Amino acid sequence: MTFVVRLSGTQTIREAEGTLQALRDALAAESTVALDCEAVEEADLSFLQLVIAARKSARNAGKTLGMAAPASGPLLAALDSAGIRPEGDFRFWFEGEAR
Amino acid sequence: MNGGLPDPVQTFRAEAADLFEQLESTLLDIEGNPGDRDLIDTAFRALHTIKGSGAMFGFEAAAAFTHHVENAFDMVRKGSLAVSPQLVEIALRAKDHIRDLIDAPETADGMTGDIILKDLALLVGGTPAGGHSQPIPTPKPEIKRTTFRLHIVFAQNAMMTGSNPLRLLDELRELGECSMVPVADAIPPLEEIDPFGCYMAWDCVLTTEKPRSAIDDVFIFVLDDMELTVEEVEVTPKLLGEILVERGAVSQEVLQTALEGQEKLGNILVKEGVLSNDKLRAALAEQGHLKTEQDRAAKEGTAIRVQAEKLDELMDQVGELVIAQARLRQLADKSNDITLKSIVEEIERLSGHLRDVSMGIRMVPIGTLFSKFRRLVRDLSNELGKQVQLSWSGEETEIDKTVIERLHDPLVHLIRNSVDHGVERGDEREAAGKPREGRVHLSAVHSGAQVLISIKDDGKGLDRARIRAKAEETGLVTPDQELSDNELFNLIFHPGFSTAQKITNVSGRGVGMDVVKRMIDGLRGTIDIASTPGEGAVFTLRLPLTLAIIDGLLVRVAGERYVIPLSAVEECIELSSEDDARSTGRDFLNIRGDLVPFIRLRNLFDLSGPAALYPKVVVVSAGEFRFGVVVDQLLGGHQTVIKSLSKLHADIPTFSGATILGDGGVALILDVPRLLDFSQSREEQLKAS
Repeated sequence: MTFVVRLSGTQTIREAEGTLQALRDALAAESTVALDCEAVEEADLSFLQLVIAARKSARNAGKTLGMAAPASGPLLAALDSAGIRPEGDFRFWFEGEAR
Repeated sequence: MNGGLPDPVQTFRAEAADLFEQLESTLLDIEGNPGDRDLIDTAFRALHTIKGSGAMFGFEAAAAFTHHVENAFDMVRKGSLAVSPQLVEIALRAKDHIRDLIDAPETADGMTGDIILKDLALLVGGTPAGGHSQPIPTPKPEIKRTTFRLHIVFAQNAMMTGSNPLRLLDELRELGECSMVPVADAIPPLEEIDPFGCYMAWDCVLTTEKPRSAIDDVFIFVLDDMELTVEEVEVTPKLLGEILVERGAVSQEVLQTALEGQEKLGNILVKEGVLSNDKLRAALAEQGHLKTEQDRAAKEGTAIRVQAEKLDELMDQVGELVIAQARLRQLADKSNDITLKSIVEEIERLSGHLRDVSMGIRMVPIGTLFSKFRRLVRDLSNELGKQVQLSWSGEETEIDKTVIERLHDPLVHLIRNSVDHGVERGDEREAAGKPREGRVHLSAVHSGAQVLISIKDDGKGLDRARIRAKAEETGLVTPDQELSDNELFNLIFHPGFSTAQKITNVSGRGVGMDVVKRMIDGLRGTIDIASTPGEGAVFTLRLPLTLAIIDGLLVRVAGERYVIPLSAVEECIELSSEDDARSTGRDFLNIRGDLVPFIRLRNLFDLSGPAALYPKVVVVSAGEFRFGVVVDQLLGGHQTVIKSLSKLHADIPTFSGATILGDGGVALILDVPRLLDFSQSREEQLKAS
């Protein structure tokens, strides 16, 4: 069963603590986690880093964490600004269906 | 001589014209491929440049207008606006309007602009923007481009102190071409992460026209605590290994060992654990960036914009030189001076080369013309409710720019004709077992000193019966007259001839095809038509590569000299005395089993003077016809600089121009296709009398 974490609204440094907690909780309880970021209205570097960190943790624990759908809208714009492109370890941002 | 500096506004207009062309073709590409981000970026950049340089050259209205369209495309890039057919439609209309605002700002219609902006605003979902005083960034006139390699590590607490690294990176990008590779190595797993910390680092290669200080300015508020290294790099293609060592990513020794492994360098280094994937990517990105930058520099270094008149002037001067050189040659031939002869040979070689180079400068690939017709076909098929796909091949075929310019209108007519008359409606096509979407294919190919351009459609073909009926109705042919397909098809080029039963906006007013014929004649070209009922029609234009200088065959008839364009000449043979004697009634030659008619220039032009003992026949071709021209003497090849005939003589059908010979004499240039028509009509007159 894939557990979906729905992330929405503003995802910036102000929300970072809450998001970190949500990701930790999800990874503690589930082995396959998908992030639904469709409703994210704003994202900054802190959010990108949290997701990448969560992916590292998941990998370390033999679990899976990915995107429910390819990044779009404001999240895609943030990835663009960070220079993140569908290459190597960053490919997951642009692929749907967590695997 | 038209000296002095070119008007900067004119230069801007010429550059803008290129941008409009690029924008239009990009928009049409977007229409067929809405998901392509690169295309959106290209359109956005074109709009951005038009806006920026428009403002710089005082086209404020154009710049302000463009600003709104640019905004819409920026929204598409950012993902807040979807590409839709309406957006493309509006953008195409906007493009036309911006062009009007730049080409003729006095007469441009403000209403059109308002309507477009209103439509755009509706689509974008904002309020119609009427502001004309938007501040518009103007691009910098500085031209020195420098490439920097940057390594960016923000302070761990950068975000805590209120700065937004992503915005700063965006600002950095605005400085120029930027390849950016994020390095995520330092991001710890979730268990250890400080959610407010800044872990990500970036490797960047930036090519900019701004000074080094501009980079520091971007990071001015965080500079003290961050790690920022900036080094200037030379734009020379480098091996990956060189870049890695230079960046300190690996040592020379490690590189050497790895190279000996003969596997792909990057893979080896990653596999051996001396290089992280991110660092390899950064280095590869730099390699790519430098390569593109160098290509760009190479392209820019070789292309300059020259005013068309200057090219014409150059060609004129070269023409005069070729004539003067021919006179010199004549002089040298009479002399015994070896030194003079060798100098003349040298000059001949140089002027021949100069001629080729100058003509080469004037050559333009025909693709520039073809791509202009995409919009035409798109708008036309929308208007007529047909689906028509335009394709082309041979777009790299080069033709003299004057020919290209003068080809535009006839091709528009022919393409309109194909879309309107040729290609059937979707339901008709389906009933005939063809795909709903019709095709019009343009092609260009060199054939000797000529170029063949064909317009081919897969429609219903020309309607023989209807052309025949119309021709009889207008009295062009009598009901009992026998006509070959070719003769029949050629009737459509008669003035006032149109078989369209319904007059559409597109064609069918009886103007067009005769105009096409006249224009192609003016280019010394010919048109052939081939048509298969139910399968389509092909119009083939046969055109000379250049209108300025041709290779000709100089011949003599009685005391006169004439030039026959070498492109039309197939072979030269002797007119045997039997053929000569036999042919008093019927002028036919037997050439290797083929009967070839011939004409005698002596008779045709009523020349007197002693006939040659051994007359020669020059076999020439005009379209599909082959015929012989009897002359007294072949004088040899001649670089023919074409001088047009005076207005008084412009109506003489058999000559396309004149040229000045080495001895100062004048030779007329035979117009081969029209010579054929002329002699045929004369023959008919003779028969009739």
